[in-house]
Amino acid sequence: MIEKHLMRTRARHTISADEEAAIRALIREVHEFPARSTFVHAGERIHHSTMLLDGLMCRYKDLENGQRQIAELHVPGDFADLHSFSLKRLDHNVMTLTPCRVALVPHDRLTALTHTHPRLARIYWFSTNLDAAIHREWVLSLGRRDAVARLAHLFCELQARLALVGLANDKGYRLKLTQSDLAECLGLTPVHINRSLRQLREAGLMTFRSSKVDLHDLEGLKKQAEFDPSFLYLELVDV
Amino acid sequence: MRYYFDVHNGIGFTRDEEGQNAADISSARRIAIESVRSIVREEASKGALDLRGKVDVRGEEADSMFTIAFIDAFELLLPLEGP
Repeated sequence: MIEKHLMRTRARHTISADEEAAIRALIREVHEFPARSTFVHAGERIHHSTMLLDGLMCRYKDLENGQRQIAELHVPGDFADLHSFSLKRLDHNVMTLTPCRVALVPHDRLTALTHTHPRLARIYWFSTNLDAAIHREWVLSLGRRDAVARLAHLFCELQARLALVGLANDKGYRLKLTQSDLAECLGLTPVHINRSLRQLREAGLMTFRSSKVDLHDLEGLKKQAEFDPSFLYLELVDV
Repeated sequence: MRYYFDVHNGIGFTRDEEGQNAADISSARRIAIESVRSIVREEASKGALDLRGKVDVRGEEADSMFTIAFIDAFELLLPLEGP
């Protein structure tokens, strides 16, 4: 059930059989949410963290006029709102973008884990730091990259993150997002996204159509995006 | 209602296959204007201001089609010609 979470974690850290058992024991129950449900609202007191098993979800903030900024996308295997363990309430909302299967981890089990398995506590500390690294890369995109490079960078990031959990390869991946979702990630309008996708297609780099990303030239796409995967820490790290 | 926003401009024609929901024609019009501004803003930041484009908006009903010229998305204040 948590195989993708283990794959994602083992890409960065060795995990012993005992640690694996401790991770499995964290889960109290599994829930399914339909697409487009906001299941964590900003400001609510939260008593459990959510591990994403299948589907795509996002963290977002919005303005009174309804404009929404997605701040991060979560892919299967992510411990999506581990932040709430120490923050207790979140300053943002968490929403499913597709139908999602999630595992709920009570905060008191995480507290116990920090005592029984301090190394796993450090691994999960690493994981929230990794979220911060992804946020910094998004700030760079939103502040400095042009529309085509922003889009190219997001597709490169998702390729790398989905490949870690066996859901992407160098040729492409499934991605059940709309152009409106991409617009809310990248601070653009859906029409601008459509036009930028056309530019990526005409440059022979990639095609995004019918929930499918076809990578015609992944190296070229990375070059267009100035994509440097070092912010994803895709190497074994001793914590 | 679903509206589709096809863009014609300097780089050619981009057909909207996905569309966006809008409550009525005036919100569809607002979406078209925001879209034009987003595109032109970025082109302007690269040093080109080309207002010759247009957005053809298609609704699901036959009488819900209209066009927004890029230039209509802006209030234009140009310097006076001459000495």
